[in-house]
Amino acid sequence: MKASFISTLRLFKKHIARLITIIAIVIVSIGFMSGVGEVQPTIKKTINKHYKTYNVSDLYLKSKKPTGFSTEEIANIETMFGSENIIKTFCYEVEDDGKITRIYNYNLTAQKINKLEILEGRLPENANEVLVERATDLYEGAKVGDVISVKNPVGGTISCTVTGIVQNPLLMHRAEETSFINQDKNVSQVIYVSTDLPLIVNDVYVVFENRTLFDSFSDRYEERVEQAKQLVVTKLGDDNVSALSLFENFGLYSLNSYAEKIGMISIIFVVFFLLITLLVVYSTMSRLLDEERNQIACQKTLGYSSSKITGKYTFFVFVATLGGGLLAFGVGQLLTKMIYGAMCAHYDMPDYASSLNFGYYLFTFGIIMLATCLLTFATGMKIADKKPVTLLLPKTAKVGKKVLMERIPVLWNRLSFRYKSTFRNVFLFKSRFFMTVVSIIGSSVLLLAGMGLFDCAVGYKDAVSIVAIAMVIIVFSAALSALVIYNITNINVSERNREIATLMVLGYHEKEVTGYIFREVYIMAFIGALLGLPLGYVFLDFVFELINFGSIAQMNWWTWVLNPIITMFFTFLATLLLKNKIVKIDMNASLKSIE
Amino acid sequence: MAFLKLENVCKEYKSEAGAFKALTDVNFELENGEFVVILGPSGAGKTTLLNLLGGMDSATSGDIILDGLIISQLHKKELTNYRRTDVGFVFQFYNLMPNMTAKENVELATEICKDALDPASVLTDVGLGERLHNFPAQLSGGEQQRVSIARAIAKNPKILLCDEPTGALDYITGKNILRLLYDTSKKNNKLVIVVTHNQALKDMADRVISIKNGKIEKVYVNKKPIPIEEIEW
Repeated sequence: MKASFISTLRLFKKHIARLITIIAIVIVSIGFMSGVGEVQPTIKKTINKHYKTYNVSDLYLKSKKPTGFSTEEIANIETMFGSENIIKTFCYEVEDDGKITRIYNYNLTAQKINKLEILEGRLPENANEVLVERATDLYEGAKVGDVISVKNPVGGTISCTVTGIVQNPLLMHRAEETSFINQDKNVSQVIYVSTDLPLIVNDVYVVFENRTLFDSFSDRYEERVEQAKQLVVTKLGDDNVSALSLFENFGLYSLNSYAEKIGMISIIFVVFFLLITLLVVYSTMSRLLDEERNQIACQKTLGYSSSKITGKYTFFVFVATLGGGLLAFGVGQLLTKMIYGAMCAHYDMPDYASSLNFGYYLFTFGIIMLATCLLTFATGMKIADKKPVTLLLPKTAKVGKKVLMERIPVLWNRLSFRYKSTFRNVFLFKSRFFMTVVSIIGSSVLLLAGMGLFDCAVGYKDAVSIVAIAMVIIVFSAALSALVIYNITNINVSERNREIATLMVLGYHEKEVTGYIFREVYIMAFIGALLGLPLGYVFLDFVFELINFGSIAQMNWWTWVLNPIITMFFTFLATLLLKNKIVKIDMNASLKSIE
Repeated sequence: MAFLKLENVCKEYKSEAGAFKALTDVNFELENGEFVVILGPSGAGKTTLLNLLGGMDSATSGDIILDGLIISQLHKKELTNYRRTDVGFVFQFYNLMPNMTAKENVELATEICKDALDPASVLTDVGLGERLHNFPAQLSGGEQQRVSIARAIAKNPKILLCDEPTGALDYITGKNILRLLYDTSKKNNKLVIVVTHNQALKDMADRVISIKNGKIEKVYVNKKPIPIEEIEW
């Protein structure tokens, strides 16, 4: 028991760099996946909450006649939806000094539908008191206590005192509200005047009985809305009424459709991140197991069972993914909050309350931990079940195999000796080459996609939310890319310990030794970075198509140049950081024994 | 002046457990073209001595002079240059590059030497003319050790250092390898130093250095070395 504890401890100590790298990769990956994945559920919850809290109306019926709805028409509407489910208002606009003011007249004290949120002050108590919509970039606003003159639709003016500043739940988008008396202008002030019963009723707001139907623009809700619209138009006539729904409410609906776009982007990227993470963690573990062949053989000859030996390595990856996954929780929460915050720049949304959605977090955490542990155990068992004699021999490529390039003498004979050996090392181990290049391609494709989304999103005025998500994708895929390349370089150095020592004994200088090892990393990174471009093109095309936003043509041409440069720069950084690891290798210790 | 001269060479290793004297006051002189055997039990300091001679480690005090060059005073970079041009190593476990053919393994060493010999002809000399394009995994242990010897010879170094070169080989193969090393010292006129714990090998050497507890026990010359084929153990 004690011996196995010590040997497990040694394993962790020996491969501490790899342990930390896996932890870091898992933090970045799960942090990204849960952080981005939870944005859509969080926004949908917010929209639902908004809808319920303010009892937002489902339909907005607007009379097309200047005299408003007739008594008969009102009675019809009341029959259709129930009198308790509607509010009758008189809404008009006046133009003064070129500025449009919109005035709503209805019973403000009842406040049953489209409840105004009182940000300051109180409700009016008489006809000379009014409420004013809060000041934004577009609305002028006013102060509590201000006396303003409110124009009558027929011409007269009355002085009113502002008793409160409010926020209309239907005006949650911070964008222009076009005037309906002058299509070229935007409304610059909104005033609410309390009237028990407006003389003219030209706007009627309707709520559906079933408040759960909405569910952030569900399909069933859309059906119900269409049905209700049809009913209204049939009963009242197309010439008399226009029926608008929340689907035409720019604020709420655009927020919802951005949330849906983010949701789609998240799913694509979550799947991609998940696959790359699994590949990277698994290839790290399988290469670690290969390096430990001698140790495994040793323990086998001592009589340890394959499962006991493999258990130690499985525990290693379990600890790494568990540690990374736990630390990723905070990263994910912070990320969701940040993206949510960025959306708030364009929407008046309630403050972010720590989301109680853990679906993505638990799912990605679970998958990564389970899959890497199982894969490590399976690979470990495959190795441990081999005969110790086989394990003691170094793992070499299939004997006599030549790399493809050697079959093209014109090319091969022109290469200097050093490059020949480099190319052979790069291409001879197919699975190692494949896993390395694919993980580099994967992370550079992600980075390219983030950059592409960013390029397109900055072109749109309203795409703040997509800019935010693109920036997050850029930061996280760059971090992933840097970690993946560092990890690969680190493994390469560690696997080549003995060869490095041999080169040192032969009198190779530090620069020559590091060059020998790093040349391979550079070649693989270069291949990955280049292949990342066409594959990134296909991936981006798919993403743009799916989210119905942006296009390859809208991207900057230099994004395609910058992307491989970033990959190569990360490779350069990794080699810079790992140079000392090579230089510090002890020639004697590495050469004097088999292990 | 002797080709290789050691004067009061000491090597001390410091660790948490305290200082450990691996070599104390080592003095001897060797001539070019000699086949020298360094004998001693495990832990006597043989490998430490070889590391100092090969420029893989530095002495704590004392002087090591090879052909006029004071190795004990070289800095890290100069030591690398020394290993590059003046030393050929042969290890117990061959230490070949697994992804390179026999010829490429030799080329790896000759590529960086000025007066290197032709890799293919050296490999032919050690009996591997037919195996130039084989990878280590396709060669037997004895053949791999021949590649490693060819790699050391092809550098055309001043000194050939062999650390238990037959330690991983069977009896007959081991003898063949020793024959090859002996011939190298004579045909190429090289100083060949073999470190071993096999007492029987002392009879084939021109000079024998026996070492115990980090100190030289005795150094003597064999007037009539016995060919390896006639030695049994």
